[in-house]
Amino acid sequence: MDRSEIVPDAATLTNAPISSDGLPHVDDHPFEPLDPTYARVRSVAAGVAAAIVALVAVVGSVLLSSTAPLIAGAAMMILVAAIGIAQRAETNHMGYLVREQDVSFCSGVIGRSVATAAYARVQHVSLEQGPIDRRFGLAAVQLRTAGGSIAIPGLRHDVAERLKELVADRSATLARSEVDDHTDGGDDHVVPADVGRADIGEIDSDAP
Amino acid sequence: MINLGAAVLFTLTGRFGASLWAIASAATIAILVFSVVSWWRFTFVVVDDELVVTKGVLSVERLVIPLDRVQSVSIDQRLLHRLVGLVSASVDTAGSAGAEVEIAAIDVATAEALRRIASDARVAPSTASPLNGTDSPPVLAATRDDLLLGRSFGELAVVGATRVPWAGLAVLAPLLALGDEIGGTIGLGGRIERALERGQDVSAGSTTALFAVIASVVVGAAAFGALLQVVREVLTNWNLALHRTPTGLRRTAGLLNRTSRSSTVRRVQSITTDDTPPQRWLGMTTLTLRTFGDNHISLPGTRQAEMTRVRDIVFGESAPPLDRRISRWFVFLAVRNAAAAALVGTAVLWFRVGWWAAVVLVVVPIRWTVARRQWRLRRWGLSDTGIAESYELVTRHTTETQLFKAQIVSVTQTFFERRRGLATLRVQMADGFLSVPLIGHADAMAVRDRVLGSVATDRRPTL
Repeated sequence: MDRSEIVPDAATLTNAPISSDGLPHVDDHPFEPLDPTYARVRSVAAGVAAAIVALVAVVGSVLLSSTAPLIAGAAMMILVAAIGIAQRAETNHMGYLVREQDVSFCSGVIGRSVATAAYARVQHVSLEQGPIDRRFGLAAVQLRTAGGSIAIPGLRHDVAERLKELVADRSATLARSEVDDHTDGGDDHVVPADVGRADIGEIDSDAP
Repeated sequence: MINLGAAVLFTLTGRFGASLWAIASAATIAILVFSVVSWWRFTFVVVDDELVVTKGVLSVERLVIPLDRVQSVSIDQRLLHRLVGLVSASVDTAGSAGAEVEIAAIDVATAEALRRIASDARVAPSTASPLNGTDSPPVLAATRDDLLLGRSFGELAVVGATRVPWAGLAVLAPLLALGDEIGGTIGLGGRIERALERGQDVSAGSTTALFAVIASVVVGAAAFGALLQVVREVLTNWNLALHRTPTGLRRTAGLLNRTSRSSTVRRVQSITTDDTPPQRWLGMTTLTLRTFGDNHISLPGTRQAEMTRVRDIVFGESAPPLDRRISRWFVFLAVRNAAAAALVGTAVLWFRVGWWAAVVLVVVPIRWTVARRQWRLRRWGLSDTGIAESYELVTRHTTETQLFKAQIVSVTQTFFERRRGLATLRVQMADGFLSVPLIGHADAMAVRDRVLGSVATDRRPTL
């Protein structure tokens, strides 16, 4: 992709004010839903948790030879099952949206939340797969910025790979790297005469 | 480390006697050995535009920090350091939230040399040869750092006196814990009891005397707390000065612990102000430049002119006007939650004290008046390049940042907000965040789009 399409050149840079109507609206486009098998991944995870709880309850009741751990275990399993059902329902309301300048992720059934990270702020992207994800061929993409991260779970593995490539590529061109030309607003551009490094030499010390 | 070991030894032997003496001394010796080894292993050297630090006891760690990535070198001198004439230096880079590396005790000359080397490396990138001929601009000698503002003893005392006094009493909490021990040994408890009994005899006769006693206790506590605040303020911010350096800002302060914090301008993520009513009446506020990392630059007793000057240096733009409000539903939500909690509390207490439990419900109208005041004073605002918010109950707090510094923007809706077409906007920077609840959903989305537009077009670096 031609770099000049993404990054405004200094000569052609315009920065006229944009009224709200002229801005691209995030909600003009529907969010893309996650892969349908992600709901099954969450159910399996809930099932594993329930199995562990059951195991602990059974072992506990055998060791302590009383039925109290079994009752507690049954209550915990109902709780885990309820959470599992809620999480599974939630996956129907999760979605992501990839645009030219940023990526958004929406989630939530009762409370909705849309978090957006711009490529210019992404520091690195990673692809994550738990063991259950791997069984179903899904993966999660995590975009990390200086102020936190956005994770998009439940993507098919090849889709996740392509998204990761896209974000990595765009953020490499758009994100400001640390090696810049020191043109900070407000910093004086002062070059000291006789850069003193030669005079000071090396500092070599064993210090507590 | 050595302090910890000595303290452990002291308390254990003082209390439990000989049976744990062996364990305590063994632990102290282990801590001592560990400290010595970690001191032995810690080395740092500046070679070829890089700072190389070796440290570690069990596993040796080698850090290589290119000097032009170093954004600031902060030099602290705690009381213990003062006694032996050393300082501690911490090196911050763009990527590290805390200090990248902390050099615990070195002499002042070395620390200053390290700071100078780091700032030289930033100002003149290593690729630029100082001998480069015709293109380089005329070189200026490094100017003396400009003093932007300073605080005298009187100003600090005023700041301390106008803070919330009861916060100062928190410092007494550990003393209260120890006081039990100390008081028991010198019979203080008995004396206090006798004094209280005498006080009770005086006030037993009339309720006005009782109120007078209570009032005098409260006033006394407030006055004592204010005095503690003044002392704390003067000790921590003695000779507070803010300098403008070639690479950013530097703040020096302290009487017992001397601190010197420096930061580049762009590392500042947001500017916050905090003030109490007396401080506002006197025209001053506590200005804090929140930076990426732990070295926030805090300037108490700042006046409007100084604030404008600092803001010009850091942001270069004028502040967004705080002219928007949040939804009035805020009051309803606060009252509803208070009523729910009060009803639960009443129900629980009803089984104990009967109908007197209904007294708990008085919380609800109190919450209503408080929430109304909070809503009236809750503001936020937007300009072309910045966003700000403020809230106040007794102390007022404002936060201001530039739109392009946003890292993650989110619009969330609780169930309550969704039913009423409201939303919460949250702008997360590299350090800290700005969150405005209960604004119109469309407004929130419009602001989000404006923030994202700024992030995409504004090419200034955020760290």
